[in-house]
Amino acid sequence: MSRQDIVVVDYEATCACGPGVASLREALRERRSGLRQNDFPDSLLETWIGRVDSLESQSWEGDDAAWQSRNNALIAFALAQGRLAERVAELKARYGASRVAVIMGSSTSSIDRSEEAYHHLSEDGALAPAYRQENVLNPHAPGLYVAHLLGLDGPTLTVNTACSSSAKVFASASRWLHAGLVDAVLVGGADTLCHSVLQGFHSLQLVSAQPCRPFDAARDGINLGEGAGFALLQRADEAQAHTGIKVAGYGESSDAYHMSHPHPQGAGARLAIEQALAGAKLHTQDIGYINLHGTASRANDRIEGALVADMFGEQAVASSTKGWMGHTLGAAGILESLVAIEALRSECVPGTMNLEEVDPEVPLALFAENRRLHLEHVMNNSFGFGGNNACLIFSRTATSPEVAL
Amino acid sequence: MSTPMQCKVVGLGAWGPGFNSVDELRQCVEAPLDSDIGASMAPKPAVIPANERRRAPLPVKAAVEVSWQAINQSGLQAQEVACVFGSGLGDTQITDYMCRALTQPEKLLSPTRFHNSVHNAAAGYWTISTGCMKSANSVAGYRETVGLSLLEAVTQCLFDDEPVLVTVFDIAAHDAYASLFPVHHSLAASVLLCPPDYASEQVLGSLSLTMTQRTEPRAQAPGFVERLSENPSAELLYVVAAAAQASAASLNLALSASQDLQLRYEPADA
Repeated sequence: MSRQDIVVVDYEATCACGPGVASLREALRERRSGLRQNDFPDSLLETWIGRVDSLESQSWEGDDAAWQSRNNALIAFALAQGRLAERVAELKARYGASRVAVIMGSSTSSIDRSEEAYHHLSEDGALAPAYRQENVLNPHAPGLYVAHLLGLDGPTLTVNTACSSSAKVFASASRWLHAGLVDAVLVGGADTLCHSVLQGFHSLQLVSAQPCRPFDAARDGINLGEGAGFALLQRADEAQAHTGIKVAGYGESSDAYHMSHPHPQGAGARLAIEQALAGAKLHTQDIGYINLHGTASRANDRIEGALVADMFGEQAVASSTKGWMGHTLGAAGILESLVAIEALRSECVPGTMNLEEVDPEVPLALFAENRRLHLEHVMNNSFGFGGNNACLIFSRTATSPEVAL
Repeated sequence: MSTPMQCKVVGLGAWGPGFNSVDELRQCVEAPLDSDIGASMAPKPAVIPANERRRAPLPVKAAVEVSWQAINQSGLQAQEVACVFGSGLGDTQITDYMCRALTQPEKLLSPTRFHNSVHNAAAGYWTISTGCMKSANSVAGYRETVGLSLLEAVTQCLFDDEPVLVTVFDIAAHDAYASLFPVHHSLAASVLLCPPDYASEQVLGSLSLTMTQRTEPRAQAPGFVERLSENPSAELLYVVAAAAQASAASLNLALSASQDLQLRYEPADA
């Protein structure tokens, strides 16, 4: 049972900043937010959203019709960007389809399609034939669709732990690779905007009518966003080429406190961070940049800010990048991990967009503008409903990367 | 082929049609196969405080009930046990409520029902009720839920070196969902796993798991459990029942279209 490094072979990301990781990289560098005033079809909610364009134009002809949903359209669109799908195909050819696993994280799966289906129920209350999609109307839909789309046949799982979902996929994949169950794992996260989350967060009075302002004294709630991110992982000594980035540590914990309020002292989050540091054999001072969960809710930012200041010091280099893409829920874990990885590779550390005056209750020296910094180790925090916490650390590998930015 | 992964089984839980405990499940399994399948009784997990229990959805109550049974049998403290909750369909009753509410012009949702709608509601209620701050996972695998939940739990048990509770649950498909998923019975099952060298008073047996290529059509768990096989979570009951009878059991659980998890249970002192 080996414990060798798990490396990131390649990755992709699509969110409100545009199609593909190249758009995200450019948006981060140029400080271009993807947020817009709510124009989600049939939604009257006064808020800003991080919407991905062109998802409505995905065609679902013939056999594909059985897979139709906005979430699956987002997955297909995201996987059509860059070269990730080619690299998956290479590994599939090298090891066999059953030796490549899929672990997706999602909060909504394809509930967008259920919402639509309920507008078209038959007179006896049954689903209309076009919506009898067994592989879409269940919470495993994202995993099933990715495996179908890429022709993968290894174990395929969907993690649904709300907003920590696609952070936890890195932990599960690391264990599966350590166990030698498979030779590669495609991890990912995908969540689309839908009325369930827009209205659900509205019912909890957590949605802001303005562009979100994480950690700002005047912040008044979150903006919802949609997005999908993927990372292809392998054991280091078997990877023929990779990004030069490894999954150095992961931590997973529970608040044991409340279904929708974080623990007031961030006790669960602290455990996850400590576990990730221990797994990576690193100390707090080794972490060069922390991508915070930073939702712009009053409670999260105050508690997370105080915790990070207490553990890492007030001068910790940290930011929330929700101002670029909104809170992408089940996709946030991986999208923001990729933002942290991009910072590591590009040496461009994103600031906290829309931050004007740091909340005096947050004892962190947060900054709005981007900074140039050489980094060795970066961290990502993801916290979800149910008090579900995950923390990830990514580091440079000893060997030089062969996949360029 | 990977090498078998082995861990100890130290606790069990079961709830479903005609049984509210592992012992009652054993009686159902031992009854003549043409016996009627009983009705599921409302689970009342004592570990959830009464005011919270009233608001907890049925799948949460079922999952927490069987988890609590497994912890009690094991003699371990819930606080030292990580957990993996798996469900094939999730909570179709809440999904149905939300989708119906969202067809109305004002689209108003109950905040409590919204936060209860997350797939990890069971994991949330469990960790809150027991004060467990360990890793809580919540996974979905549709028809492969039992195999994938076990795979996730056993890799965590062995590679993070800690006891892991695995609980699977699926409730009868609700309303419009019943037209798509023929799941008519509600049930839940738990198995509490420990690393081989973990100190525990109770050892029921050992579980050995290997990922294999499926070579012939996969055999369903036989007998009473086969009659519940439309329920994505049913197959774990087969393992629970075998362990309750102190008998060996073998079963292949699907992980994907061509891959199985080959499971072998051996009772202790056999």
